[in-house]
This record gives sequence, structure tokens and C-alpha cells, in this order.
Amino acid sequence: MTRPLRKALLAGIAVALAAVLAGCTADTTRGRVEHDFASTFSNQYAQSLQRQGKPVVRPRITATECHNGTNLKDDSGPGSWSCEIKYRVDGGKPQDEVWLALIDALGCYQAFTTDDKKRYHEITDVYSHKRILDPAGSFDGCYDVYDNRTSISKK
Amino acid sequence: MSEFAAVYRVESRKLLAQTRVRWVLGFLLVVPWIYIGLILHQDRLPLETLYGRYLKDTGYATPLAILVYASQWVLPLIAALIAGDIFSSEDQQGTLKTILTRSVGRNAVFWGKVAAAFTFTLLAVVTVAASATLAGIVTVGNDPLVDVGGTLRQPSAAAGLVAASWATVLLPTLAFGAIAMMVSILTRSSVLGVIVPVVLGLCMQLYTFLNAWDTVRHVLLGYTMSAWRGLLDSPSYLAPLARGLPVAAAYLVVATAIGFVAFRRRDVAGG
Repeated sequence: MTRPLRKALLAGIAVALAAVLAGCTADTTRGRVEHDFASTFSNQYAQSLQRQGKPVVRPRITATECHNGTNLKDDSGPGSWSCEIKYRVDGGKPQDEVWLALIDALGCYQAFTTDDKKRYHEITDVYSHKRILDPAGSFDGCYDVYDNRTSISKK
Repeated sequence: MSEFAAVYRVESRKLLAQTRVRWVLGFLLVVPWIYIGLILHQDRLPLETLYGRYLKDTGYATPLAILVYASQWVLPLIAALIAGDIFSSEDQQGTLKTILTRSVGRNAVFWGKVAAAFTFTLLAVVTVAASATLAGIVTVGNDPLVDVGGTLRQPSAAAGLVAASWATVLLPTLAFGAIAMMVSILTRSSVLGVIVPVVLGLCMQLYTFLNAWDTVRHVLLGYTMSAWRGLLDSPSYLAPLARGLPVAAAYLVVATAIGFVAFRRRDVAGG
């Protein structure tokens, strides 16, 4: 292979690689975080009631809005995300909570409410009789970085 | 007995006789018990680690929390310690010539050594997984596990998911072992055979946790090492595994092929 041809080939590979990398969707997107946070919150809320031996009721989530606090350009990428979740339980008063989610680059996070009383609240598990952290105050979550929830808009 | 089986048996015996390998296996057997023992004797939980919050709730959180740490740097280290000098030690002791002039061919020597190194790497991973699961169940209890989707998994289902999660890191761990053997063949250095895969693993891990190009992260072994997380979600998702395992297989095949070609072409006349 001649030198100019080799150079052209290498340049072509570099351009193609740059195009592929630039055109890819971020693993962590607002769409994925909001969807997973809302569904996991709902499951963990029900889990909390079940572990306390109370009738299991799922919260009716009316709105979830999450933003990346470390990325000012768009809502993508790992870091510290704040999530506002609005819900109502069994026709009760509307609830509005702000949570923090520490998201890693692999699509998992640790989420906890900003209300420290709720965050560190412990309940007694009726099954194991152990004191456990209330899942309605903090939980872990993960999401599929290959799904089609690719929205990263800040709006 | 075939040439391959003879080499495999001898290499396995040699590995088992090595103090370093015995120490690694013993360390992996004991560490999960120390880890959960320390956790149970402190008030705080490692909440920043996936499954750390459940360490005092269910025994099945122990192997998962340990898998989070192990997949970051322990497994590449294990693979490198076991496989990193299986070829280069022959160079250093000048025994390669002796082996190859005996009644076994180069192919049998290569594949016998590779198979023995892989067997012991798998044994090490199974040891730490089994020990961590046992340590969790014995010290914390056989209680249900809450997955990362917020669903309660009964002990039998949790045990299956723990086993499946550990099974997914076998291929990338073997890929690190293949890289270690390739480096040990190419450089004829045991030190580099052990250090290069570990440094490579750390670099991959560093990149994995950077907020950099995600596409690059997906083709690193560190990403495949963490793909098990989707198994324990509800609903579970397998896309990271489906994409990560072929990546690990590619590393394994390429590194083994390079090692094989280099070993076949090696001039051992000088001893």
C-alpha cells in the first residue's frame, strides 16, 4: 500500500470513528432517568408498606421531572441529578418531593429524598423482624442504556 | 493419554503447587467473611455501593456488593496473577527448550497451558462467588432480596440471580487472563505478564467511570464486567450483556490468537 493511500485510509477511519462517536446517544438521558426513577419509586413505596405489614397501595404519580445538576448544556450524563416527583396515594393529599440521584456512568444510581428524616427513617420488616432503611426514603436503581428513551432536553 | 491432556495435567499440578496461587484461592475464600463481618460490626452501611444498603437485610446482598468491587479491579488481578507467568516462567527458567524437545508438540503445550490457566481462573471466580454467598447467608440470613427495580425476590430466585450475575463475569475475566498470557508470551516477562493486564484493567475502569464517549466505554472489558446489573432489575434487561459478551469474546479470541502465533513462531534454540 502506497503512503498517500495509507494516509487517506487512516484519515477516512478517523473521520468515520469521529462521526460514529459524535452521533451516539448518551447512556444517561433525562428520559431514562425519569422513567426509571418514577417506576422504581412506585415499586419501593409499595415495598415499604408491604414490609411494614400495611395494605399495599401504589402511589399514583402525576409528574416526574429530573435534571442533571452538573451538566448545564443538556440533561445527560452521570453526576448528581435532582428529581421532583408529584404523587397522590389512595385519594389523599397531593405529595410533592424532591429527591437526589447520584448516577454513575454505568446506568445505576443511589436515590434519596432531600428530607433527611425520611431518608434515614427505619422500619421494622414484618418478615425478617430486622430494622431496615425505609425504601420509600432511599433506594438504588438501574436503567437500560440501550432503550429508546433518548430525550436529553432541559425543557 | 493425549499430548494436550498430559500438558494440562502437569500445568494444573504446577499451578496448584505455586504458593501465589494457593494464597490467591485462600484469600478469596476468606475475604468475603471478613468483609461481611466488618459490615455487621459497624453502624453505617456502604450506601454509595450498589446493594450496600441491603447488606444487613439479606445474605444475597453480600455476593452482589462484592461483585461490584470485584468486577472493578479484583477479577483482572486474579486473572493476571494466575495466568501472567504461565509462559514466561519457562523462559526465565530456560525450560521451554526441554519441554518442546520431549514428546509433546507446541500446539499441545500452548493449549494445555491456556486450559490450565483458564481452569484455575474459573476456580478462583467460583471460589469467591460461593464463599461470598455462603458468608452472606450464614451471617445475615436467607432472606428475600429487593432488586434494583424495587421488586422482592424470594431466596431461591435471588440465589439464581446471584449465580447468573457471577456467571456473566467469567468470560471477561478469562479475556483478562488471555491478555496476561499474550503479554507474557510476547515480552517473556512475568512481571509484565502480571502488571500489564492489571494496569489495562484499571485504565478501562477509569475510563468507564469518566463522563466520556459512551461508545468507547461499551467496547471495554470493564463495561461487560458490569453488564450483570440488568439481570437484577424489574423488568430485567439483557441488552448490555448481549452486546458486552461478544466484546469480551473478541478480546479473548484476539489475545489468544496473538499469543498462539507468537508462541508457534518462537525460536527456542537458545533455551
